[in-house]
Amino acid sequence: MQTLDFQKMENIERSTSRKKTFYRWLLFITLGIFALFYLAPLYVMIITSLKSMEEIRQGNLMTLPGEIIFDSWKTAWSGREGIDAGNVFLRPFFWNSIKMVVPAVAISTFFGALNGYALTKWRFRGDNLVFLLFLFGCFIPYQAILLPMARTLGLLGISNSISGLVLVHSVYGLSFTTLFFRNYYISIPDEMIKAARIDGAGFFKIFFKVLLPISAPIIVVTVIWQFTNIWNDFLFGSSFSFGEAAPIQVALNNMVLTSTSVKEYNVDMAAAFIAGIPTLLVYVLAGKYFIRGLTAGSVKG
Amino acid sequence: MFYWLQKNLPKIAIAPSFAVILWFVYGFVLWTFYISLTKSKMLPRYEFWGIEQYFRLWSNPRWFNAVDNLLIFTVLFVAICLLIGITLSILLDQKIRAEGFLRTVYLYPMALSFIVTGTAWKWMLNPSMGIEKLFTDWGFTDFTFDWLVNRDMSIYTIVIAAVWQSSGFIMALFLAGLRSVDDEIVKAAKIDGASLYSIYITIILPMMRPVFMSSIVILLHISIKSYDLVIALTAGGPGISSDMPAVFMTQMAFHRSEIGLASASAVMMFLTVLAIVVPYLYSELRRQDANT
Amino acid sequence: MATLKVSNLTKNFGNTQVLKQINLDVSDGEFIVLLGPSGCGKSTLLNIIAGLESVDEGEILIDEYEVNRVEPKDRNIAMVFQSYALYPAMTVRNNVIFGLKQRKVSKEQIEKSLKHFSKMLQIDQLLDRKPAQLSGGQRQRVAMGRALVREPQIFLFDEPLSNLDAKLRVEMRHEINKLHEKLGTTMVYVTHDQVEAMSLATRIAVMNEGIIQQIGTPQEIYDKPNSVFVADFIGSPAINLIEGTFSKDGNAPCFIPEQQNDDVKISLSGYSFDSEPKDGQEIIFAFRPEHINLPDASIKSQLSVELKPSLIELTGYEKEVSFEFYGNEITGRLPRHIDTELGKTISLSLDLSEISIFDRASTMRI
Repeated sequence: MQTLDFQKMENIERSTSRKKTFYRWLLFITLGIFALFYLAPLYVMIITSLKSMEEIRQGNLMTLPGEIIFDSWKTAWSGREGIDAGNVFLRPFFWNSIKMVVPAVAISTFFGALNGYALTKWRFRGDNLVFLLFLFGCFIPYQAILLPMARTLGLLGISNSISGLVLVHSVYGLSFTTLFFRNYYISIPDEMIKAARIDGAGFFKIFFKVLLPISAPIIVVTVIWQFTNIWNDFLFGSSFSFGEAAPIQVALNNMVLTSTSVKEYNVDMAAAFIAGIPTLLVYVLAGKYFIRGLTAGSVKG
Repeated sequence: MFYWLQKNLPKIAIAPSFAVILWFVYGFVLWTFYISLTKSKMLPRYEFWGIEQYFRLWSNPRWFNAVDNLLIFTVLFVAICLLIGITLSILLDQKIRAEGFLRTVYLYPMALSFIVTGTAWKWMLNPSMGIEKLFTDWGFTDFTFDWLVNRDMSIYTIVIAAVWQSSGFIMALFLAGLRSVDDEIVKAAKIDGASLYSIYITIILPMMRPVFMSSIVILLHISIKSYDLVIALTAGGPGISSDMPAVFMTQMAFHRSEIGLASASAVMMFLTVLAIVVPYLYSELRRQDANT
Repeated sequence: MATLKVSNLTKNFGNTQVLKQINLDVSDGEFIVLLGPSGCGKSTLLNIIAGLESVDEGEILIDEYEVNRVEPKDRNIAMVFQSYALYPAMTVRNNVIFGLKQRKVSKEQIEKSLKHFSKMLQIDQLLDRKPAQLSGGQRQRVAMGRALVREPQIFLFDEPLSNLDAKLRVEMRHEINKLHEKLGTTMVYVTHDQVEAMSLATRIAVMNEGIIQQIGTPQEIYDKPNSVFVADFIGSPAINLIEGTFSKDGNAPCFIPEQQNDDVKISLSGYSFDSEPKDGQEIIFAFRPEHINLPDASIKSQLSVELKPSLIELTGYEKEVSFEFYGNEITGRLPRHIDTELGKTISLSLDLSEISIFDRASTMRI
C-alpha cells in the first residue's frame, strides 16, 4: 500500500501544468496549420479570380489583387461579346444543371422514401434480399453500366439531353435514397404504424399522413446528399451529353481545357468558383445535415 | 381482388424501383459482362468470343500502367487519409472552442466536385506560376515543383488533391467514433494512471476497429472510381503517366471504339469492388445479427 | 487507510452553482454514502474527490494533505463506475492490471496481486475473456478487481449497482459490505437508492441541490431527519406529512391539523423540541407508516385513532394500507393478520414518541 509523498506531489503538480500548456499550444498550432492547408486552394481560387492576368503573371499564388476586378467572373458566367463567341461560358450550363438536378433529386428522394417505408414497416418475403440488392447498387463502379446506358439512352431517343441525365441520376440515386430512408425508418417505432392500421389507415395513407410528416430530418439529409452528388457529377455528364445539353461540371472542364488563345487563369478560377458555389453554400448553411448524410451512408445500420 | 391488392401493396409500391434497379444495375452489369466476352469494337457484336478480351486487357501496357498507378495511388491515398483523419479527429476531440468552425473547414472540400478541386489544384500546382513561383518569390530560388508535368510524379499530384478532398470525411467518421466512447472509460484510465497518449493508443483506438473498417472500404471505393479528379487535374497525363483504370475504360469505350476491351476493364473494376464490399457487408450483417 | 476532508467546497458549471460550500469529514475506515436525487451534485462531488473535476473554491484533503491540483493517478484512490468502464479491447487480466502496469509495478508483484484479488472476487476463471463476453455481475466484479489491486487508501463508488437487476443488486451489495468489513478501507459511495445507503453506510450524507442536508448514521437519519426533504427521501413507503399549526394550549403544546371542522388537538407533550415554535406557527407533523399500529399498552404516548382504509396493498408479510387522516391521505404498515376491509373503520393508535415536527416555512426540524 502506498501513502502520499508530500514533496513529490508538489513537484509533480508544477511540472504537469507546464507540460499541459505546452501541449495545448502545440495543439492549436497543428490545428491551425491544417486549417490553412484546407483553406489555401479556396483562398487562391478566389483571389486569382479577382486579379488581372497581368497581376497573375507578375505576382504569385498568394499576392493579393491590387485592384479587385470582377471581369473574370463576368467572362466565366456569360462570356465576352464578339470575338470569343467560340469560348465556353457557364450560364446556360448552370441552368442545364438546375434543370437536371431538381427533377432527379425529387424523383429519387420520393421513391427512396417509399421504398424505405415499404421495406421497414411492411415485412414481406424476400425483403432483406431486396434491400441488399438496393444496397449493393450504391457500391457498383459506374464504369460497369456506362456502355449499356449510352445505348439505352440512344434507343430511347434521349441521349445527349437533360432528360436523359435526369433518368440516369434518378435511377442511380435510388440505391442511396432507399438506404437513407430505410435506416431512418427502421428506428421509428413500428407501434406508430400499427396504431394507424388499427385506426383504419391503409398503406399509402399511412405513408403520406403518418410517416412523411415526421421525416423532415432525413428528407433534408437525402436532398442535400443527392443535390451535392448530382450537381457535382462529371462522369455521367461527360459520357451521356456533350455540347449544349451538358451540365455545369462538364462545361467547367471544357472551359479549362480549351483555350483559343492565351490561358486565362483568372477566368478559369472564377468559373471553378461559380461551379462550386451552390454545393458550397448548401454545405455552409446546412452543414450538419451534410455530415449526417456522409455518416448515415457509411455507418450502415 | 381488392383484398389481394391491399395485401400486396407494399410489394407493388416497391416494384417499380426494384425493377429499375434490376434492369439498370444488375441487367446492365450483366450486359457489360457479356460484351466483355465478345469481339465488339465500335458496335456491340454478340457472338461469344470467350475471355480473349481479358487476355488482350492484361497484355495491354496501358492497362498495366493504369493498374500500377491505381495501386500506388490507393496505398498512398488510403494511408494518408487515415493518418490525417485520425490525427485531426483526436486533436479535435480535445474540447476546443473552435471545434465547430474547424470541422467545417476540414470537411468543406467534400462539398466540392472533383472537377472544381482538380481545377483549383491544377492551378496551385502549375509548374511555373503556382507553388513553385510562390516559393521562389519567398526566397527559395532553387525550388522546383513541376510534378504536374513530370511523368514520374504526376500520379502523386492526384494523391495530394484527393487527400485534400477526402481526409476531412475520415476525420468526421473517426470523430463520431471517438465521441461514442463512454466517458467513464476515460475516467477509469486516468485513475489507473494512463497518460492521454496511452489512453488513445491502448484503449480508444482499438475500440475504433469498426470505424477503421468502414473508412478503408469507403476510401478503397473512392479510389477505384477515380475518374473526375484525374480528368480535371492531369487528364491522365502527361501522356498516360497518371492514367487510371476508370480513365482507361472511358477512353477505350468512347474514343477508341474498343467497347469489348472497355467492358473487360469495367468488369475488372466491378470484380475488385465486389471483392472488397461483399466480405465487408457480410461481416457487418453478421455482427449486427450477433448484437440483436 | 486515509482520512478525507472536504472543506468549503464550491463548484460551478457555467452559471449554475452545482456544489455550495460543502463540508465533509470522513474518518479512517468509514463507509460514507452520498445519497440524493439526480442532479443533487453527489457525482460531481465524487469526481472532484477523485481529481477528475477541478475545484472552484475550497479544499480537498486526503490524509491532511491538500490534493486540489494532484492528478487522480497520484491520489492513491480507486473508483468503480456505474457502467463498469472496462476497457473493451482488453482481456479481463489486462483490464485488472492496467493500472499496475502504468505504475511500473514489478511483474511478480502484479501476478501476486492479480492472483490474490481475482480469487477473492471469484473472477480467476475469467481472466482471459473479454468484457463483452461477461455478464453484468461478472463485469462489476472485474471493475472491483481493477480497483482492489491498486490497494488504494480510498475507494470511490459511483452508483455501481444501478445497472444490475434487482436480485444481483442485493448480492453485490452484500459483497461490497463484506469487502468493507474485510479490508477496512475508507469508502465513499454515491447512490440515489436509500436502501443501499441504509444497508452499507457507517454514515450517510443526504444531498440536495448542491448542499449536504444532513450527515449522520443511518439510524439517526431515519429516526431524526433534520428536514422535510430528508424525512421524505428516506424510508419506503414515504413518511406521512400533515400540515397544521402549533398551539400552546395553556401549558400543553399540541398540533392542530389544517382544515378541520372539529376541534382537533393532538398532544405534543411527549416530543422534545429543539426550539419550541410560537403559538400559531405553521408546522408539519410527520410520522412513519410503521408507527401506526394496534393499540399497545406498553407504548407511553399514543394517539388513538379510528381510521377507515381506502386502499389495501398486500406486500407478502404485511399490508400497506392507505387511510384518511384529518383530511390527508396517509399510509400505514400493518401486520397481515389484522383484519382490514375497505371502508370499515378500525381502531389503531399512533406512536407519538416517534414523530417529527418541522417548521412549515423553513422545512427544518424543530
